[in-house]
Amino acid sequence: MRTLIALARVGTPICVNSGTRTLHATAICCKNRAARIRVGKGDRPLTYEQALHPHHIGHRKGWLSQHTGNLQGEAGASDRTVEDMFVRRFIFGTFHNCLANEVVIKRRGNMLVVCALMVQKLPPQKFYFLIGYTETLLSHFYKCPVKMEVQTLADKAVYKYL
Amino acid sequence: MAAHTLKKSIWSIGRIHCHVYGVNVRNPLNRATYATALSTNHSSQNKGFPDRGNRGPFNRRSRREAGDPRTDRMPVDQDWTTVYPTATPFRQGSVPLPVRMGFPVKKGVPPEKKGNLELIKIPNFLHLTPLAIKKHCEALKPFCTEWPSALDTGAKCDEHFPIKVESKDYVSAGTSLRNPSARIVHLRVSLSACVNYDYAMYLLTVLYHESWKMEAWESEKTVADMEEYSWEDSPSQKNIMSTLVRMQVAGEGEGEAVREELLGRPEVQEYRDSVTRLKNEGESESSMHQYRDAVKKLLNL
Repeated sequence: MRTLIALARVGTPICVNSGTRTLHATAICCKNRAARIRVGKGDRPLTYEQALHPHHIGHRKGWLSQHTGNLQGEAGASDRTVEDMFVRRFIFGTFHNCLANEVVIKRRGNMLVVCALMVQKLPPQKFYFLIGYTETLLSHFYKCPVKMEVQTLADKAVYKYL
Repeated sequence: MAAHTLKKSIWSIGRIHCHVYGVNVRNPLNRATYATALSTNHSSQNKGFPDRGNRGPFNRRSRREAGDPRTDRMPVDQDWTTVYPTATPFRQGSVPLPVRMGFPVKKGVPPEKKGNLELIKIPNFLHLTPLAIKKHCEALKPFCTEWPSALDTGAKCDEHFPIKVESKDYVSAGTSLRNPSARIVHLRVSLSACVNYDYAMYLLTVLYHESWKMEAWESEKTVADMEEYSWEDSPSQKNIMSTLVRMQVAGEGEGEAVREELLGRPEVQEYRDSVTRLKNEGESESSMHQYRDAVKKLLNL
C-alpha cells in the first residue's frame, strides 16, 4: 500500500489506483472454549478435572458417570443423563461451597451411588444431616435407593496453577 | 442507665454495633438497623461480640480436628474382607497402598491418592479378593445340590428333558429393576422327541381354541395395554377430523354424515395407513416418506 502511494506521489503509476480500499475477510473459525480454563497469571489453583480439557476424556481422564444406557441394544440413556444433571445441580446447591471436585455418579442395578469429595467447611453433624436429607429426598424422587459416599479433605487437591 | 444506652443504640445510624439477642449484627454499609430485643450486656464488658458461650462466629476451640486415616492403624495380617465387604468406591483413608493415578505435570509424578477423583471414578475389585470369593462360595454351598450323576451326556439330558426353556436376565442400570427385554422367554421343543404325535396335535388344537376364548377381565383392556396402535378413536383421528371440518373440505353440512364422508375419502385412508405404519413399525426412511406424501395430499399442499 505504502509503495503504491509513494509511487503515485512521485508520478509514475505502475498500476491504476482508483482510490478504493477493500477489506478481505474469510469465514470465522472460533477457538474451542468448552470446559477449558485458559492460562492466566499463575495464581489460580486448578484440580485435575479442571486442568485437563475435554478431548483428554478417555485418554487421561475417566468418566464422571457410568451406566449401561449407552450400550448396544440398551435404552434409557437420555433419562440417565437428565438424572445425572439433576443430581449434580442438587448436590452443588445443597452442599454450598463445600464441594472439592466434581460429583461422581455410579449405578449398580437400580441403586444410585453418588460419590463426592468435600472440603471440611461444615461441622460433621451438619454434614451428616445434609447427607441424610439428600439421600432421602433423592430416593423418594427417583423411586430407587440413593446412597452417598462422601470423603472429606482439609482443602482442595491442586494439580497445577494457571 | 440501661434504658438510656438502649435508646442510643436504636437511634444512632452508621457504624453501630447492634446487640440483637444471641446474634452479632454489624453494619458497615451505613444502613439503619433496628434493635428490637433488649440486651443487658452492653459496652465495656465484651468488645462487640455478645456472649455466645462456646459457639462464637469463628470459634476454633470446639472444632474437632480430623482424625488419622484408618490406614495408620491397620495390622499387616488384618482381615481385608471387613474393610471392603461390598462394592464401594475407592476410599483413600481405607486403602493402605501408596497408589498414584493421573497424568503427571511436567517434571512431576502422577497425583497421589489423597483427593484423587480418578481413583474414585474407576470400578474397583477390592471387595473381590480370592479370600472373599472363597467366603462367598462357603456361604452359598448349603443351598446347592449335586448334579445328578446319571445325566452325564447331552443326549441323556435331551431324552429326559425334551422341552428347553430359555430366559434371559439383564443387568442394566436405571431407576427400575426390570428390563422389558427380559420378558421374552423361548420355549424349544424338538419334534423328533415327540413320542405321541396325536396327543401333541390334540394339545395344540386345544390351545388354539382356548386362545380364542374371551375372559371377563379382557374387556377391561385400556389403550395403554394395546400391543398394536389402532387409528380409530385415537387422538390422531380426532385431530385430523377437526382440522378437515374446519377447513370446510366437505362443503356445507354438520354432524355425523360429514365425518363418515370424510373417513371414506382415499386421502384420509392413506393418512390412516401411514400413521399406523409409523407407530407400529417405528421410524424409517420409507415410512416417513409415506407419511409426508399422505399429509401433503390431505392438506392440498
